Amino acid sequence: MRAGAALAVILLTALIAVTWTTAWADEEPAVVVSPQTIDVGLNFSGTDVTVNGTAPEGADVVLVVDGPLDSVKMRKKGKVMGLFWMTVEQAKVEDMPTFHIVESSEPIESLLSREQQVRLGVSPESSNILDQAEAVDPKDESQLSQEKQTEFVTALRDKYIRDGRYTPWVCYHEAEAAECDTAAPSGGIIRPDEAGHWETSISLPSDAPLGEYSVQAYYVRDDQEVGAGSTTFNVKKVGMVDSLGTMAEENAALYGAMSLAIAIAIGLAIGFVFPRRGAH
Amino acid sequence: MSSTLPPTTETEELTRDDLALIQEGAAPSFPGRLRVLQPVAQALGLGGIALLVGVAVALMVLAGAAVGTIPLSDVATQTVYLPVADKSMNVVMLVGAGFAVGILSGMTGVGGGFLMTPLLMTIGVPSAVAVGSDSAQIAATGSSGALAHSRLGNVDIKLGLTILVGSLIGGTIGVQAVRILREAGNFDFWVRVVYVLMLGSVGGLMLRESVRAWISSFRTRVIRNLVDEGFQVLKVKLRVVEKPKGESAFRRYGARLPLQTEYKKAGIRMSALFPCGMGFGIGFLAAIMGVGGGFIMVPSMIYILGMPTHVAVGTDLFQIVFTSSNVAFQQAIINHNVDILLAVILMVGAAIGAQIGARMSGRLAGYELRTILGAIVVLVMIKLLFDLLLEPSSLFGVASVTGGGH
Repeated sequence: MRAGAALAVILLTALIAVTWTTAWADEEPAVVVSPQTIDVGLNFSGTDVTVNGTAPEGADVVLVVDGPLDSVKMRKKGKVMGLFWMTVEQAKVEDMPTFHIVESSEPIESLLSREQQVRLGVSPESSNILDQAEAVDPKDESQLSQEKQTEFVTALRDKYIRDGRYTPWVCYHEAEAAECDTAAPSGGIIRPDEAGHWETSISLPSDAPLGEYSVQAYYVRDDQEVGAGSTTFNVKKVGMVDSLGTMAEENAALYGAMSLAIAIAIGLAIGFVFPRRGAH
Repeated sequence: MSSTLPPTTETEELTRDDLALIQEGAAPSFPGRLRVLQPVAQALGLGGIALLVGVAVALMVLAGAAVGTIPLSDVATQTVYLPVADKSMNVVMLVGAGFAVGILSGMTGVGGGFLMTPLLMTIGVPSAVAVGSDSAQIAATGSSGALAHSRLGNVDIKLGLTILVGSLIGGTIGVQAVRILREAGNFDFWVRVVYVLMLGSVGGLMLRESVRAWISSFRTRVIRNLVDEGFQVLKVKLRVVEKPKGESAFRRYGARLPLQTEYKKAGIRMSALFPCGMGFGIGFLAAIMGVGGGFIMVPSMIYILGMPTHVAVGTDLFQIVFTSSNVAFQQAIINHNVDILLAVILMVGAAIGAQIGARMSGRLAGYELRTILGAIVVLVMIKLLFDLLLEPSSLFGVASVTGGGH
């Protein structure tokens, strides 16, 4: 009797699990990134991350990848004494993603209305990011005027676009778009096959920000979101880059002493190999 | 570098140094089976062997590229991620920067820190990291030179320690100045201003001096053609004329200062305040500019203090090791801007460059070398001046978040 009850419980659980996962899979089609961890080692010079997933039938794909939020100190240069260019203003921009790209199967203007673009955070000028970010005075953390806020935050976004950290979808679809300073990046246009499978790659620059990135796919049909999927990947320092970098920040005295010891040992070794070197 | 006359004192000094090193048993001797290499080592020098090995490796890489086993583009684009600068940079470019400065320092005998920092800034190393890492590299390259000179008895320890009292204080204050300027957001600007001023004045003086030397060498050549036999006498006379002058006023003022001290090895007697003050200035510049300061210190010791060249060079190297070590250590603690990997890569490039430079220098006269150096110094100065005066491509910059910029 007890065995029967146990069996029933197991079967029931299995049944629930199966139906629940299928139901879940229907709502949230899986998005897979590879690799899930990007190691920044000595020979890291940027890398590509592959993202793939399956779109519901007839739906278009919009993919948003956001890097970790960070605070960045910004400087504005100005002419001083009518001659020299030096920093005249500073601001700290807070809560701005360090990486942001939007890829899609069609130009987003033709897929989504303006409201939907803003809601999903895929408007061409990345307005949701600009609204979320905040510029403060680096000294006392007080908020800057609305005008200054816009100036610094927009300048940072433009700089990130130049550095290859931000790529608005327009840049993929229109090579000459005003938002894109650099040459049009390759790829970025997602092409699902008949079964709805799609695959694309995201290129991380050599100075890719460290931390956790969110990958969010939206499936849209007739200006409506018909599905979504999300995942994350992580960029972290490994090996010598990690140990030296961490030590330099957290254990600076030891790092300084060790650096000097290594440098002087190598200096003396070079002096031994090339004995004429110091004697002028 | 004391002679303005064509005969190269460089080669003479080298043989003397080598002899002394061999007499003291410092010449490299090979243990056990490696002893078969001894005659080769003596013929070429250990440095010669290392150069040969380097050339062989380079040839192998090129051969591999020719056959197609090693794609040359892979070698040229090999990057390294610098852990403190938090930046991936081209290895060939970094070694090349070290190499270029090494050639110059091998040719002319100056340390080259004052060229390394601007060069690193130009190829994209954040200026604070360039300054900090350069100090570590200078301490390292200076150490072997200081060791060699102290073996030869070229270091006036008493004078060196007096300078150090000033330079350790100057360096410590300088590192704080770097921190304050970075927080104010204008370190990039001020480091360039200081460079423009220093390089402008030093380069200008060098060029002026070398123009004079060119004229005098032209005169010498004319006279040599006229009276070939009387040349030796004339040479001695010219040398006497070229002796440093104008020290009297300075000496008279210096004699009134307190703490008069006798520096035996340097052969001078003066107030200890003076070398101490010089040390303070050099220590401060070492922190702000990432230099050893030999290009200011050695000429001052020779021309202002009236010391013999070899003692000036030896004592300067002695103080540089400690001044730069102090600066590098404090930068690491306060500004987190010492990238050891960057320093090591530069050292390797500079060591190879210095060997080639030293071999090239034998063919050029002292004043010719100084003309080259002076021209380079002035060019670097002009480049930095343009950085200050031309409108930047973007008015907005992001403060490097590495080290200290939190």
